[in-house]
Amino acid sequence: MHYLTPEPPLKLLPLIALLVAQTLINFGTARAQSEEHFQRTLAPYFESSADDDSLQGFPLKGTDVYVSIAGVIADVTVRQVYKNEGRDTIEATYVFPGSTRAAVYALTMEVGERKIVAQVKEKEEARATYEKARAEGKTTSLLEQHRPNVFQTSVANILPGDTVVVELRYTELIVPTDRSYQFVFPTVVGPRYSNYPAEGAPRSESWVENPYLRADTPSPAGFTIAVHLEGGLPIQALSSSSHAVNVNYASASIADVSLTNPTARDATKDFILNYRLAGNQVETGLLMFDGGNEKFFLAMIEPPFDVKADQIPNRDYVFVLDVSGSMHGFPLDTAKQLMHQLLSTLRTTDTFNVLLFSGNSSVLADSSLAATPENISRAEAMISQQWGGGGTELLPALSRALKLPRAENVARSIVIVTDGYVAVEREAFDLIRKNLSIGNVFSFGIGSSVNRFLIEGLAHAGMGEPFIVTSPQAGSQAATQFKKYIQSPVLTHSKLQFSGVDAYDVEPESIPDVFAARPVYVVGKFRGKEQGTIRLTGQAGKGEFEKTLQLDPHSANERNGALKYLWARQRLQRISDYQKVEPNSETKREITTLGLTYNLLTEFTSFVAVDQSVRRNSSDQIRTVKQPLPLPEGVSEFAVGGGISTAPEPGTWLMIIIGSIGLLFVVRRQLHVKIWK
Amino acid sequence: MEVAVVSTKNVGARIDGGLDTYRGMWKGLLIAAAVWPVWHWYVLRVTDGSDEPWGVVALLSATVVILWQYQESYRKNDIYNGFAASTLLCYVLLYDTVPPLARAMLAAGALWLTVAHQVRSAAALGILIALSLPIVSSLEFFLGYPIRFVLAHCTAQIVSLMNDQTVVVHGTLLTLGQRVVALDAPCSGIRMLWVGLFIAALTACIRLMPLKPTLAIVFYALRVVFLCNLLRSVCLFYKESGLVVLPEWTHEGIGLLCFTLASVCIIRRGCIYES
Repeated sequence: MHYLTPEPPLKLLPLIALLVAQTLINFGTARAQSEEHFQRTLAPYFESSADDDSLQGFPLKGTDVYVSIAGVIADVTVRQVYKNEGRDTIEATYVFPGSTRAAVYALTMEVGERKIVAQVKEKEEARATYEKARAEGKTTSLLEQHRPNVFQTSVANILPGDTVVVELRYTELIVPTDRSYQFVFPTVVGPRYSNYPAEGAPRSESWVENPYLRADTPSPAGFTIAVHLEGGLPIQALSSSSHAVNVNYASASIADVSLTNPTARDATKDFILNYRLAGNQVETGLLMFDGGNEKFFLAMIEPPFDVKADQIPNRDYVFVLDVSGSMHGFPLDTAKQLMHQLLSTLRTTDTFNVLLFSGNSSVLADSSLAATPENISRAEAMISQQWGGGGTELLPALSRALKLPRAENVARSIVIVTDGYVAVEREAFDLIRKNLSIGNVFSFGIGSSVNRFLIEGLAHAGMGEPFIVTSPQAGSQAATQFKKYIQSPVLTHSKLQFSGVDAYDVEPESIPDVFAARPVYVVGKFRGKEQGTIRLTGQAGKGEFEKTLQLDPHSANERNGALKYLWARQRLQRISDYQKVEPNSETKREITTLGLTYNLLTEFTSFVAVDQSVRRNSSDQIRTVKQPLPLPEGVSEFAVGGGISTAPEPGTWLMIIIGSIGLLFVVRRQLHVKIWK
Repeated sequence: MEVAVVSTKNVGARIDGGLDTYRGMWKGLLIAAAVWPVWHWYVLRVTDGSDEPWGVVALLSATVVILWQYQESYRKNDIYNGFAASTLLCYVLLYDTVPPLARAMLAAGALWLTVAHQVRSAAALGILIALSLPIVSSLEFFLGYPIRFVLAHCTAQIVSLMNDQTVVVHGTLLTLGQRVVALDAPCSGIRMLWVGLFIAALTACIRLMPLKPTLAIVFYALRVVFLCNLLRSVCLFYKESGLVVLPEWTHEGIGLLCFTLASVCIIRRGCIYES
């Protein structure tokens, strides 16, 4: 074997390539230095103002929060104080977080002695109103929702020396877990990563580009929070796990909470208040509100505190495990360990089945098996043989799991373990919602980059809980949490029946099982007089369970006005899940109508307030100032930086085409050599 | 004018002899039929979207090579038949134990051993058959991060030498001041590697290379593809970090240019070979 000497020019090919590349680099570098612009993505950045007007760079002077909790309903007032201590007229924007359960229903703006109540309008219309007022020199404020838990206030035409106070109000339902109530007030939006191009980014994304303070720089904006709690029952174990607080008891069931020594650091972490109320049985409660045109009710079912063994009905589990190609390797190994831990939580009186799915699905048995050691070993052997391959046909697998036969008087939980790399989220949510009466759905997302929208949406639709598992160790913790969460379903086959009352628009549409750790609440509307009964039936550990709630005309309380917002919020959350995936016009119209009808801040409705006094000449300049945010506690400065670019390979088919063209030369060469011989 | 010993004469013989010329292939066809579960899995795997289906191109290329180069009793076949039988036995015995991809490898190995002694470029054919298996996602899983790690460090060194600023590496993240470029999963070059090996193997088949030159060109392809991928990484770092202003289409253009350079080197290597 020997090689012919290559022609001289080809020897120089690599050198030529390097020279060309270096020339391009030098040329491009010179251009970059002269123009100083480059394609970038949206990204937060560090505030670096050091001029004389540095104080003007921080228009938000303080946030004061007042929370009133009555039973399970919290009403929160957030007061944001903006002050212009500079020489220029400014427009201040401030991005802040909110609870995902919050129903923001009011906004007011105070300019000096004047107080203006904001109106809720369709988002684009509100924006146009704001821009028009801004251009005309009127002080105006706009409250928008960018995410269910991210909002933005914009206040325009704050003159030098002006103080403008923006006050928003929201209400939310506090749902206890493990008999413990927790109220959370988020204080800061952390820096977000986005690969959205900065140029032409819509407002729903451009908020990501917000300044942040360095980790060692405290925010000059103050923060206070005060909570007034009326539990209805004696309060137990009231404390904050996040902040140092003072607690004053006005009575056994009424308490006031405030920060001990408010500092700037208080605004870098969520405020978390924990408390318990006395009670030991599965409680049902009914709140009603007569809103004139519509009447609302809230029925709440709470499980008992100490669940005795004979109170726990038999449980049935269907484990739906994704064994598709995308699970191959580390995700499936983690899932196998998780399944081992989940199966080990079963009692011998429980039953279970395992459904494996990829392109097709296969089940361990045609119907659920007793959780004996032999059957569990069989299941583990079946799972251990899986290596990951095929597509991810989630919908057929879910349908099959939901149709598996179930014994009477058995609580069923469907546990889905997947990385969620599917594109059928909406259909999956819909399928689960329609079958809530069959069982709850819990979802485990496996991997470092799971489809959280699907995982959380499945659990939300299935009235379960999502778990994200990024490592085998995290799987162990998740399994323990799941076991604790699910080990005591107290009420199954729950049904609500309405007698003598015309109830409608009930959320949720199906009643899920009641677990010891989580109560169930149902909000809805009714027509006619406050009479009739709401009857809850189900299966409890001791047998049949029934509780009847009587509608009493005297029960309707004006203080329950929050029910209309809570109902609307519940419906918004359900239809917003669809909206995220398919922004079709009908859903958008429904969301907009809900927002306008019930005066709520939504993805498509905003609050706008305009002070009709013209305070700035339209020819005078106005400067926009984004309020720099503090980094959340524990977040490093690496979270803030330029956009992160990547360098993916060219398309495989293009490379194959190039290779094929080159191979033609090889064929030609081969024929030439043979003919020459 | 002499005609090619392997190509034209055999084709003529095959045209004249019809199907009789391939009568020796009955063993291979029988084995192919026996491993039908592997074919079933293969079809599902390449169509489920979890991996790119380019293995089919390699499989078709291997089929064409077999039909082109097939020659009855080209080499002594007892050893090959023995190995083929052993591999098939392993396939049968380990069927329930090993994962589907390993089963496919055993089946492919048995098929290759059945025809290897009857084609001139047996080694290259074996490489083509191996490339026909859906291995890209597995390669990505096992080799992707190590390759990106090495690429990131090499890129950082090169760019730091060419600039007065130092590029800092955090895993596969490259940071130059405030500019951050990530060498994430699609940047590993596994696909470039696959296509590079495909070209090398097919070149070896066309040039009728025996074992040693085949291995030489394959290892050459590995080196060249890695170096060109490094060149791509360096060039794209300049672009993505904003140090160099280039239009968006140059992103793929630079990648294709680097790959073309690698292809030219591999094909050139194959063209200058003479047995």
